[in-house]
Amino acid sequence: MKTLLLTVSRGTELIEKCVIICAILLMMVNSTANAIGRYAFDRSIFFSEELNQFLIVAVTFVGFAYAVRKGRNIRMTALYDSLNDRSKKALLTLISLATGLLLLFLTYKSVFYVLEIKDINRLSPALQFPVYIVYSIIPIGLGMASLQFLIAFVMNVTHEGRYLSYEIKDGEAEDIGV
Amino acid sequence: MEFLGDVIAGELDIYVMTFTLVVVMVVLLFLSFPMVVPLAIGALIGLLHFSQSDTGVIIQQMVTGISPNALIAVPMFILAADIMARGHTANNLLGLIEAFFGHRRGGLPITACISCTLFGSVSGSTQATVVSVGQIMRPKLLKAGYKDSFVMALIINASDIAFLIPPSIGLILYGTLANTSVGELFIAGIGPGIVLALLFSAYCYVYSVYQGDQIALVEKKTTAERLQSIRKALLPLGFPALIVGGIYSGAVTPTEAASFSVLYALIVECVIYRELKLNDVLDAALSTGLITAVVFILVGMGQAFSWYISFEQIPQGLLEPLNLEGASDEYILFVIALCFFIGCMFVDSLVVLVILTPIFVPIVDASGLDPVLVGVMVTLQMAIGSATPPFGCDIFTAIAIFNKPYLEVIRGTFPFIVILMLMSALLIFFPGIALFLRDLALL
Amino acid sequence: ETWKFASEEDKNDVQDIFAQAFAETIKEESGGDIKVRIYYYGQLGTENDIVELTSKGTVQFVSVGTGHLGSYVPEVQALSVPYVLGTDVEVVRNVLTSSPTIYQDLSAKFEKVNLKLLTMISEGEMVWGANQAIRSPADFEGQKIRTFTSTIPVETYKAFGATPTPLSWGEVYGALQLKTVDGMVNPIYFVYNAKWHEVQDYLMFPGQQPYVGTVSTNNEWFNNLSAGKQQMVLKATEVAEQAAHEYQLKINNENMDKIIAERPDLQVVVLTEEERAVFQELSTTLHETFYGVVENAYDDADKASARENAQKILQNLIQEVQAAS
Ligand code: NA
Ligand code: NA
Repeated sequence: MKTLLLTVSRGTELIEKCVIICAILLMMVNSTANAIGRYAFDRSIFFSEELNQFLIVAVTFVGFAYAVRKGRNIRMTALYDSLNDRSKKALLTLISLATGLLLLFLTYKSVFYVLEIKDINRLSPALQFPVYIVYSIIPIGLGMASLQFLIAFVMNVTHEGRYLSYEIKDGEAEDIGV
Repeated sequence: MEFLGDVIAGELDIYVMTFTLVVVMVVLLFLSFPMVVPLAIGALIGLLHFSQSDTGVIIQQMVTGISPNALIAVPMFILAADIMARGHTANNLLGLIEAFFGHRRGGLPITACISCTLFGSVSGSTQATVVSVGQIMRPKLLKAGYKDSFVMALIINASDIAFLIPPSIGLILYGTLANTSVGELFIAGIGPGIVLALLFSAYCYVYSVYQGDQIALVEKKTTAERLQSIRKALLPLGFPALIVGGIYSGAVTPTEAASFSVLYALIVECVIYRELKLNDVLDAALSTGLITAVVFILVGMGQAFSWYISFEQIPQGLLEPLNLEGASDEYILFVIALCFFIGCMFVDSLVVLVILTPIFVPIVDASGLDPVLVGVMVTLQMAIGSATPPFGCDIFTAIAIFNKPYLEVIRGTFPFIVILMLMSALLIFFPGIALFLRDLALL
Repeated sequence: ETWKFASEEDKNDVQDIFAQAFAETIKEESGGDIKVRIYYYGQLGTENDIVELTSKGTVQFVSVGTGHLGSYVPEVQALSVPYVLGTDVEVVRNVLTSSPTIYQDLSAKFEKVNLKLLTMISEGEMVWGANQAIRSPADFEGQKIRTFTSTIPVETYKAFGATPTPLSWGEVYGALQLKTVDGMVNPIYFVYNAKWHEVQDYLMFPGQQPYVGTVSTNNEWFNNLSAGKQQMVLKATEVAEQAAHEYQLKINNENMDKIIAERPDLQVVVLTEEERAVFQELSTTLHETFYGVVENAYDDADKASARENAQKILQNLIQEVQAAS
């Protein structure tokens, strides 16, 4: 069971990484190609903007799940840092549960949003592509992020130490250095 | 008591709503919930408790928040900065300044300050600047005898200049949210950025004179060494030339300039310097995606929250007693700067930007204020905010990379904050600092 | 009671004048019982967002251009096909307010997404801006024209020989100035408000089409209103349409005068009948594009009938315009 979970976890992490890297590099290629095409060959890529928007949605929601997995959230820890270990653990357990449930609710909401867009059959203006297919990544990303927080909650309850996610303990996450 | 009753009953009154939302969000923030949570809870309480409206709009608005095309520039500039931070760029830029100023009184801190400004012209983010310039400069400054509190405050605050000097994530986000030309914002940021660098340098000089006896001077570089440093800095300096030149020759939009900057960074670091391998580039892309996501999820949730407050027209109601309509430009600019300054003290600059910008845009449009000037002022406040306690992302970055406790990192900040406030005042009374170059470019 | 009206345009633009007159009438008719709260451009999100919010009933009324509505009601893009409506003020108004094709055939499509079409308004002739005179497809050669990112406008300017270039609003001024793009398409009043006349040397009147705004309400909500309130909405729509029409004529004229006063060197080119005929001929290829766009929005089983229906709508519309001329 444990090895199965671990395999699933590794597998999904690999997928997340691939999506993020590909989306970022594709964004660069798409934008530069559009500029070169317009400047040098008088040919714009008419869907360039739309493709970038799709990629941004993918990066944001998949990247969010990945960031949560890596324990990298923007938090204001001034007060938290001044607490003792017991209180820290209690607070972090509460945070992982509450945040996980909040994200679960948002996942549920986003499933409905995607279904609504599907019903209404909204098409992207340039490519005439069904938007719901792209937006399906929203519930997936939010759902994965929610799952990470809920797993962290379980880890916090069942294990010693403070967990930000399944694999990352408090204090182990690299700082967000832009 | 009656007021609390209204809160519980969900009375649709702007003061009751504002009070409730602010209290809940501040409490969650201080409990160290991930930043996205207070924003989401704020929007949810508003929609469910006060307006009894459908909450699906949160998802819709998250997508809207991250949809503007100009936002593409954010990951692109982060990626370019990341690639350069892994490579030679920062080192070479710094070598150039040190070769000319290093030996003078206050030379080393002035070098740090100018290097931050220069690195700012190749990087869109203040944190990248803290990391790349800070890591190289701090040991040198400490060795020369400067106090760590001064050194860390200097690096954090000088890195803020990167926010004003194009490219800048702050200016891009403001341009998107306020529908103002990013190109114009970019060029208008240069003036204040340079003035700020000069003010900081002046402070470094004064500080060095007063602490003169404890500080060693660096040996003067020979002409040959100087020429060598110029040669090494040429390629990195091609970067700002590419961005500014590309945009103002009309070849590319600011958004596209961002992706060309990645291309340039790749060519310089991978092909010319041969410093980076394919794996480094993939790593950089992954880390860029992660940071982008963390920022954009906030931008998205911030949009959802600001959608709600604009749905209930809370900002209009709150701003009414301030009499902004028909007020003087200076007064409006002052109020805007103050609101952003206070907001950025407690909350991440990006979150403040996302929430406050839509509130002020209609007021700016109705007044005679130049939206570009407002954008630069707002960005200056965001820059100040990222270095100002209690909450500042640059402070946190410094804590992480210098491995020093919070209080020690912020100890030397006060003089810099005074200078930054002076800069804000200068911008209010001499808007030409920002607009001069823009007007010149538009001729 | 508060009703909410979201418009895609800024304060004091044509759609906002409509909303203001609408709100005023509702207030009067209801004796002050019903307030209409107006939201401008961006306050409740994008054009798509306000359409969706109205379809869900969070907002009761929405006004957007036909281009944006096309993502939900593809057939409405019949009005975006060039040289269908033409630019005769009275003919356009006549068709937009009373066409059976619009208020029966098209209206039915609105109901599928829970919207009810109230009225359509012209916001003035779409004018080409450029830095040279454009009188023929050859003049369009190599010209990068900023258009709305949507199939019909993109294909229109391709068919006319130009290079359509999608660009977001905030970047247009800078891009025109730096010649990243060469031209754009918009009604005069909007060109002046956005200050784009400062960065264009020529304005062309091709007699092609007006910018059409649509006003809709939530269908379910409207059907559940009392008969009295429904009448109120319809009356307010009529009053507001009149107000928007008058304002549109006035503001387009005034802003044209202002443009000429501010840019005395700017050239205004009115295409002759022969010159228009060339573009009109080219525009017939876009009928197929329109059918394709509609067809694409339906499941395989319904594609054929959707296409047939689109054909019917467009051809009837063209006939109605001819009859009204
Ligand atoms: Na910068
Ligand atoms: Na701060």
